[in-house]
Amino acid sequence: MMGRWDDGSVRAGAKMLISLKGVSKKFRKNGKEITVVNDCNLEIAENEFLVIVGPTGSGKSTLLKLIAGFEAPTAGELRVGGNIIKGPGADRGMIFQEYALLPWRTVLKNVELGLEFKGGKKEAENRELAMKYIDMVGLSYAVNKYPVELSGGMKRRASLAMILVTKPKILLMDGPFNALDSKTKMTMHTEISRIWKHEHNTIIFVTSELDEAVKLSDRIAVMNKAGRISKIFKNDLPRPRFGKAALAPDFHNRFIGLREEVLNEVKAGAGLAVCEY
Amino acid sequence: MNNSGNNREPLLELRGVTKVFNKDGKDFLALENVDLSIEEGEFVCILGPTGCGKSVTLQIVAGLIEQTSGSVILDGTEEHGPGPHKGMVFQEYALLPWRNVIENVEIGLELKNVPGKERHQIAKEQLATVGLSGTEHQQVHEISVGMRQRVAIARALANSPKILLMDEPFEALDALTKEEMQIQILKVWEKTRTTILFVTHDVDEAIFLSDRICVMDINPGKLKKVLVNHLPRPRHECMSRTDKEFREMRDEIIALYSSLKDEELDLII
Repeated sequence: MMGRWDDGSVRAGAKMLISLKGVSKKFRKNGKEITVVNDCNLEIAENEFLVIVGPTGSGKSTLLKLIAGFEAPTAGELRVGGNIIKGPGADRGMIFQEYALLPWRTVLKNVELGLEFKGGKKEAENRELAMKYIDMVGLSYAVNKYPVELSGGMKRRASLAMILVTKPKILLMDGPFNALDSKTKMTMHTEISRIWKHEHNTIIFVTSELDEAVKLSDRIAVMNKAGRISKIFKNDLPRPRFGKAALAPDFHNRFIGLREEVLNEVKAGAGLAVCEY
Repeated sequence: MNNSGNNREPLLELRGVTKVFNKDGKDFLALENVDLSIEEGEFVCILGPTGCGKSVTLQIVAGLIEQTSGSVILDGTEEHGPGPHKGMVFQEYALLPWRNVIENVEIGLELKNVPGKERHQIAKEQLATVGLSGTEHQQVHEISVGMRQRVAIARALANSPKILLMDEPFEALDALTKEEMQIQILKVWEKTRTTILFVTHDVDEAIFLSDRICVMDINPGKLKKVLVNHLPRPRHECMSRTDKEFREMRDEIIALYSSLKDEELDLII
């Protein structure tokens, strides 16, 4: 099947992996019903990097949890590879804002954890695979350290390796770099782009930072206060988007231009006329 | 030193534990010559301001960092490295978000290859111990931060640890939840009688929880004095922080810190 973007254009050779049809999620709070995700339609192609942005409370994290299978939709249908999502699955690895490392295990033992639970594999094989992903996230020098000895950025890398080692087809990332300082964040942007290119995952990435969104994405979906996807932007900026490439004046102008367009859409969706997002 | 008076073998013993960190080529004495004995079933708090080496002490007992000199003996055996016999509950709850509540409690048992039915049973019992029956199949992100910390406690207890090591576990919680958790940990301790070593910088918390309080000194970090806490139990039922005995104990501890500067003192009261 050919991939069809929401604006009708077709990306040659792209296979649809995830589809959302009329997805809504309502919660009951203090006796009142609140619609958090409102009639969302979305198709995501294999190996696509989709970033979801929107103001606080626009339902972007909930949408991610629906795809992860942590929440069930009130209405509508979510599918991965044609199959309806009924709960969490090994094909989808979710990375949260908080770290999830067991304090009594070293980096290596933590990364091996995902494989140990799966069972079946040999110890030596597990170790080799864990080392490969620890190397990929740039933590080889700290394999035998315990989490108490790691900085925030190092913990973030270790958590990432812990998910990557299970080789999920789809990576769901909920503000994964929010708590990091800007320098570490920039490094993580480069790393995740490199990993994505190397591992061919499909990534759905939720953030409220527009620079991050423009830097990483193939497309940017904007959600509004009503929990709807108000617009989807295609991001045609050439890759890589780091280092020297990002300094070219033409690139810079296009980067700022797209950021501005997305910003206006976010502001409109937040019900703000003139306001800093 | 400072055994509470009988001749039983201590469960945990620290002998001359010293830790020197090397940072940018400079040695820094973080912990100097700590001697401490803890008996089975005791609830001991290590109290002190930032930089007194209280977390370092706990991390050495946990086996997460190695002491420069001295030894740690648990149940007659010299300790090296961490293990499930030392249950850890830290400020970050470290639950695995892709597993539900009971699956998180089962982690240690699963890694020890305890059969499914048995580990489910143990995990269920430990969730009941921390007052979380009925939440077994909830997702981690659905429960409050206080509940997450209780799951972490249940997870540690599921391994039947010889000792529970807690490093400022309630620090990130709001005041109300913190108080609720202090009562909860006392209930857990009264029920299980697991030995607990608890690090805090909060004087009231140490008084409310402990049998003994190890008061730490700074620059360098070392044990200043060990106070026996005779306040009656169960404390959540029969005492309040405004009681005379509570205030006296508080004054005694603050007096030990008379040499601290005001801003350093602010950190512990």
